[in-house]
Amino acid sequence: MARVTAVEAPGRAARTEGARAAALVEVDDLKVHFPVFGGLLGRRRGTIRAVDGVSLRIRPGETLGLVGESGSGKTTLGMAIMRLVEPTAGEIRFDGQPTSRLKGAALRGVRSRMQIVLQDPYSSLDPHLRVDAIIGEALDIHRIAPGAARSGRIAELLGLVGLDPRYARRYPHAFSGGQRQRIGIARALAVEPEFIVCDEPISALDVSIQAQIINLLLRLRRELGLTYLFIAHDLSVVRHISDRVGVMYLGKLVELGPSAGIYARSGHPYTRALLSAVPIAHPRLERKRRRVILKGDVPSPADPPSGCRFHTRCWLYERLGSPERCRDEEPAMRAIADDHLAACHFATEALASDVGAIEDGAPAISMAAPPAGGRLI
Amino acid sequence: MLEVRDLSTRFTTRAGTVHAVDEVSFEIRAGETLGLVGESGCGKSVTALSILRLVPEPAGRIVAGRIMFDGENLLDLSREEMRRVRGGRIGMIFQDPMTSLNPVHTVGDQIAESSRIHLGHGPRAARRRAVELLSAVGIPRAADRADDYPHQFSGGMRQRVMIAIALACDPLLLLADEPTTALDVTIQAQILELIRSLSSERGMAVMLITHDLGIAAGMCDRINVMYGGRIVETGPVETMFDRPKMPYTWGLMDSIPGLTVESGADLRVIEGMPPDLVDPVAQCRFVPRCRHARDICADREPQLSARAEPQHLARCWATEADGWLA
Repeated sequence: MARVTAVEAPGRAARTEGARAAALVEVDDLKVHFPVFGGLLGRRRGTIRAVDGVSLRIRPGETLGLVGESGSGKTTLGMAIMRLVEPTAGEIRFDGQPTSRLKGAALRGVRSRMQIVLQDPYSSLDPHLRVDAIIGEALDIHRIAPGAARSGRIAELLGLVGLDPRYARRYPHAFSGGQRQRIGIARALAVEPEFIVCDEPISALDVSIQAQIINLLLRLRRELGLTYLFIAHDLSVVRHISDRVGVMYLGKLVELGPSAGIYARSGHPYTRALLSAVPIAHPRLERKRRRVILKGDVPSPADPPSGCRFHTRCWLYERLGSPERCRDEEPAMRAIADDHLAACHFATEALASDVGAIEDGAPAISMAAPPAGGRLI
Repeated sequence: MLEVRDLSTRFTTRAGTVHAVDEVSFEIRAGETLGLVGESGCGKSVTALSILRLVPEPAGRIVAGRIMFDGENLLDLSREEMRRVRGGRIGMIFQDPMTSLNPVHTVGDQIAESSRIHLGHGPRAARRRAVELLSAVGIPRAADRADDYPHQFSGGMRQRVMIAIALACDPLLLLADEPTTALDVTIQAQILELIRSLSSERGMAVMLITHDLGIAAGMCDRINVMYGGRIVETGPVETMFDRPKMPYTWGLMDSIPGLTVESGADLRVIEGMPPDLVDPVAQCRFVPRCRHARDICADREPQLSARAEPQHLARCWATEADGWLA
């Protein structure tokens, strides 16, 4: 399918032909803190440090995966990049422009270039609006495809995400979960964004439907040259779709590197523990794996541990005899391989460990291939 | 331990009679874990609800079959007797806890209640067990948290409390329907480990309903694949992953991003929709979505029949001994 360009967003040509920024999204030492109020008088009792000093770059055309347990700050980071929450400190630049000071038309201009796809396709679509109104709303706000062009553009968008354009007059309840997520994606695509934050886009869907939505996201990336920030807790899906992966723990980015490197040669004990917990669909491999079970929950982001935030649950810290350094000194992100950073004082030891690595070219997981001659769908 | 024979459960709807579970037979021995996998609407959860006799009436009805558990047919028990079985000898965990937590009792009391009623524990022993279980399901500072009320727990923690309640009475059989779907992988690993150890140490039988084939691979001794209310393939876990003999199972296994699929490559998708279970016709239910189907598949429904290995059965004309994909 050809790239959809019913209406060019203003300034798009200038952008693509001009000096292209090395990074589409730049995040520098970003902090997002939320006050906690409580008690009888509702006084401020503390601060949730949801994102606490994160720096990263998202390159044009790449997919950056973001993983971590609930409460790690990955969703808040995505929201901050979209400017749906205000940063407490630090800077976010989109295509070289700092987004925090933008207002009015300039903010709308940037917003039309980035969109978000949310997790729950049941609650993220207004049940009172028909599909064409849901998608058309975005077109109207950004003044794309006005008048007669509008319904054509809506039909085109529905076709693009694999839905029959005749469904445009139906309400969300008439659709299955997978179809609703397609509508959510069509809505995001309506303004022809370059960058889409996908926040757990498939976690609420049935397995076979998940594969369809992943394939759709992959196809849209190929056809429209999209850049994704893909937030998910399913590490095998993230591995499949991402060029690079960032791992978050308690508001910090603890590792960032190429997908293959993160999964096979991680230099952070948290990443390794996370990987070791992912079940692999291969009975023999799965039963033989060395698994590290992290004890307890993620500590409260209102009161993160001193030094390295992970030390209270870290198996490597235990194995090394509780080195003082982990409790006292916060580790910085350091290069451990080409394009691969990890924030651990003992990254070398983590790298040498056999915990949790998922090797490339490990024995075939799925031997479900149909017999010779037959190809399944 | 559990033997289900020719179980059929139907729902009466305006559109007709839905054959949600259709002549399903299987058994689970003590200490064994049986996996039930398949898409939504294939009958996995209704199978579990039927065993517990919690099929919503009057729309739903168990129309035939036998459910032998611990020497008696559960379908012959009175409501009162059945109530004692549930949460007693059979523990249950649901993804959306239908037996939700009581907001006016502490979580510790709710876990303790279970072992007091079903195991006859005194208050002190029950309390001790509640704290042990809370800690086993990964709740930090369990002794303190036992005095908290459900609203003081996050969703994931409440799910873990439900799991603790299910395990509190030392069940002979655990029915777990997507028990860890809403949880982080780290907590999931913790809970699966707990279920695994209870199964191997105390001989608890487990029926695990999951859509995660990784969990099935790691937890289950045998797997039943369900499609359209029927078991379409069953066998020991390694056979099922290495040499599945039913195109639907192939599709299910290929649709997950695994280590063999090249990153960024399209995943294989089972096209089409799951079958309509209203008054199904006598044909293989996977026919409309099957690449390998021939005329016979639409004419006659294949039976579950043995493949090369013992205990490996599949419902597919193509992979029978003289079939075209044998």
